[in-house]
Amino acid sequence: MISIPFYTVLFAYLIFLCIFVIFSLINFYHIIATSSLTFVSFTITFLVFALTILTLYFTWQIISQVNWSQNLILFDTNWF
Amino acid sequence: MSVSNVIHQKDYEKVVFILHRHSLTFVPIIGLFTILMLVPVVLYFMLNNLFPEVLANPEVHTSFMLFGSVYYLSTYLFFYGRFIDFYLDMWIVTNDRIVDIEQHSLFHREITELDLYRIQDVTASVRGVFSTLFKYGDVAIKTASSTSTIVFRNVPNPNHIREQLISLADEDRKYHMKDIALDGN
Repeated sequence: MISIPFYTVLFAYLIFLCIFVIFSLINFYHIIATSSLTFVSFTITFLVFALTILTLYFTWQIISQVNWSQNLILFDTNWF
Repeated sequence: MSVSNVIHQKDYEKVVFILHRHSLTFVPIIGLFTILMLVPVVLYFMLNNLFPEVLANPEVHTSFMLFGSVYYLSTYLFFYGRFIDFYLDMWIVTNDRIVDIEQHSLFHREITELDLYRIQDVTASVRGVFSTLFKYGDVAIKTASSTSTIVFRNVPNPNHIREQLISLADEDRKYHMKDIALDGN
């Protein structure tokens, strides 16, 4: 049986979140640096920001109830 | 929008146009974004109906939700990146020059300048049903001295822009008569 601690998945998710934040900020910086913050670009930025907050909120609702100390089985001979 | 942050205007220089691509050319990206947003929902319902025992496992269920979260955040980032690529492509036409600013990707940006008096050829092309119906297309600008061409892609009213560019180039040519004579020698 091959298994990993379940919190490894959470760490991977947090690393992804860091990358996501960096790239989102670079995108927003482009809008500011090129003086392109208009009603249109503000609306799109607000939409993306709102969707991100909603997604993170629902993800938090799910992961806050999980027991992260258990093991995640990747392979088990009993499966066959 | 303040153009002075993008180009350093000369004291006699006036901005005539700031052009962006026609908003209709962004509709396919919105369509793709909508489809991408629906994929996990469809997948979840399919898995729930076909293999309910898989999602009944709490670890698998949590992993699926985390993967879904990563997928959605990546989709938002893709959409935002495509919007930046679309919106930050701009063409500034002044009474002295044309500035072509093209955002190719997040870390690839090109800025080209062209003096109006050097313009030799301006071509407007409208291709396709939607371009004809909604009056948008390309405007290609060629110069005599350079092999490079500036193309305004999918801009609204390309014919009107072509006419304006020709008249602006004529006016600028009168202003730069000395430079043109020096170029000729």
